[in-house]
Amino acid sequence: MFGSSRNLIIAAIVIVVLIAIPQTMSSYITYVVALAMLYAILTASFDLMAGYTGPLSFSHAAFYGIGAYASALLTLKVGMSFWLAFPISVVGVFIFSVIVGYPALKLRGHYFAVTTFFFGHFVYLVLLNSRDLTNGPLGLGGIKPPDDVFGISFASMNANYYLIMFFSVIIVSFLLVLVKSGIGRYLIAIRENEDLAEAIGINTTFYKVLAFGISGGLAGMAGSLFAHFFKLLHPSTFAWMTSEMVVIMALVGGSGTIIGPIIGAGVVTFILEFMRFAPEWRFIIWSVMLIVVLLIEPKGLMGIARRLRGGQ
Amino acid sequence: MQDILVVKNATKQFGGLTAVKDVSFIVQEGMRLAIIGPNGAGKTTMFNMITGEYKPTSGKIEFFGEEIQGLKPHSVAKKGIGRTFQLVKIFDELTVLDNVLMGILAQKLRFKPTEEQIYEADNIIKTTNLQKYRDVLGKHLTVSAKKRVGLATALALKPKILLLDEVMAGLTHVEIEEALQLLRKINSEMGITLVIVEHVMKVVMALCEKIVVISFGEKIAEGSPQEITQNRKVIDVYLGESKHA
Repeated sequence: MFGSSRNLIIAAIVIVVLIAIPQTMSSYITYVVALAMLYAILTASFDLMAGYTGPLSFSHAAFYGIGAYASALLTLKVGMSFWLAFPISVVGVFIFSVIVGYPALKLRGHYFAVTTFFFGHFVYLVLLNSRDLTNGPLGLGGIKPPDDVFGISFASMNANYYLIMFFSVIIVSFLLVLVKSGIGRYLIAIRENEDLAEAIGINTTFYKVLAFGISGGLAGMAGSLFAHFFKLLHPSTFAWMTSEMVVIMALVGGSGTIIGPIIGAGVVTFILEFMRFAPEWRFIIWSVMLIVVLLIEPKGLMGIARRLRGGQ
Repeated sequence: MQDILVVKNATKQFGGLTAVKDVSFIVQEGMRLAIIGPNGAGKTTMFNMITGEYKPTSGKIEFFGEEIQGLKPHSVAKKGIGRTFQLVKIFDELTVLDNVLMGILAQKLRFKPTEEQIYEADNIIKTTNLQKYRDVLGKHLTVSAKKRVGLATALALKPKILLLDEVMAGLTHVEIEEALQLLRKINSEMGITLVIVEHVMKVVMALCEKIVVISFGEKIAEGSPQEITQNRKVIDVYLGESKHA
C-alpha cells in the first residue's frame, strides 16, 4: 500500500486533483471537498483504533468537538493566535483521550463500545449546556480564520481549503507510516489476540492507550481545522450522529487499511451532499446502500477492490 | 541444578472460592515438570498466577530469586517465561512466519524486522516442523499446526522456561509422538525448562521427571512418575477416577 510505485502515482494524482479543485470548481464543491477531507482525517485516525488495535469506539466526534471548541475558545476568549491554539488543542485532546482511554480500555468488546458511546454523549451535553462558555445551542460564532503567516492570508475559503489539505496529507502519511512501523505491528497483534500479545511481552495497556490518544489527538486536530474553516460551531455537529458517521464511513471503505476509511469518507460525504434534494430520503437510501455493501463484502470498498484485482 | 522457579504457599481466591490453596513447589533448571489433577483442580489458575494473569491472594512466586507475583504478563514474558494457552491462541490473520516474528519483535520495538530476525524465525519454524505452512495464514491451519505455531511463537521469546497448558489435547496418537519428540528436543537441545499441565497421562509419564498433583486447589503429592503412580491418595483422587471414565 505504501512504497509501491503504482500507489505513489495514485497518491500524486489525488493530490493534484485536490490542488486543482478550488481553482476549477464552484465554491460549493470546494466546501464539500474540504468537509470530506476533514472526515478523512477523522476516519483515518478512527481506523488506527478500531481497524488496527481492535476496540470499537463511538466517541470520535467528542474528541473532534473538544478540539474544535478548545481551538475556537482559545482564540476568541484568550485571544491566542490560531497557530498557538491549534497545537495546544491537539496536545490537549491527546492528553484528554489518554485520561479517558486508560480506564475505559480496561473494558473489552461491547463494554468498551458502550462506555465510549456514553462518554461521547456526555461531551455533547456539556457543549450544549455550558452556555457561558460555548454559547450552547445558539452556537459559537465569530471564529476568526488563521492569522497570516509568511505573507499568506487565510481569510479566503480557498486558502483555508489548502490548509486543511496540507494537514490531511501529513496526517494520512503519518498514519500510513505508523501502521507499517513496529508500533503498528504491536497494534495488529493486540487486535488479533490481546492475551497472546500480552503473553509474548507486548505492553498491551500502554499501546492501546497510546493508539487511543493519537486517534483522539488527530480528531482534535480535525476539529480545530473545522472551527477555523466554518467559523461557526454548534454542539449538534459533535453529537452521536457524527461518531456513528465516522464508524459507517470506515466500515464502508474497509477498516484496517487507513486508505479504505478515507475513500469511505469521500464517498459517503458526496453521496449525502448530492442527495440533499431529498432530505427525508437520503438517510434511508444511504442505509440501504450501506447494508448492501456490507452484505456483498464485509471488508468494504477495499475488499471489493481487492477481489476485483484477484487478491485474497 | 539451580532453582529457577519457586512457588511458595501460593493461594488464589475468587470471592469465596479458593481455586488454589497454599501450593508450593520448586522447578529446577533444565527440568521437565508436570502439574496434573482432575478438571477444575486449579492447574490453569496456578499457571495464570505464574504468568501474571492473576495476582496471588497470598504467597510468593520467585523466578531466578526475584519475586514476580503481581507483575503484568508482558513483564513476566520479558523476564523469560514463555507460555501457550489451553485454548490455542495464535494471530489468525497473520502468516505463520509473521506469528513467529511477532514473538521475536515483541521483545524490542523497532521499525521493521532485520534479516537475522527473519532467519531466526525460519529456524524456529524448522524446529517446530512448520516449513510447509510458513506463508499460510494462522486461521487456515489444523489444530495440531496451530498448537505448534503457539509453541513456536513462545520459543521466539527465547524463554528460560516454557509453560505449556494442555498442548497434547485433541491430537492424534501420531501427532502426540511427534510433539513428544519436539518437547524433548526443546528441553535437551535448547536447554529450556518445561512445565506442563497435561491430561494425557501417557505424555506425562513419558516426558516428565517430576509430577505435582493438585486436587481441589491443594497439592496432594509430588514426586517422580513411579512414586506418583504408587501414591494411594493420587490413585483415589485422580487415576482411580480416570479408570472409570
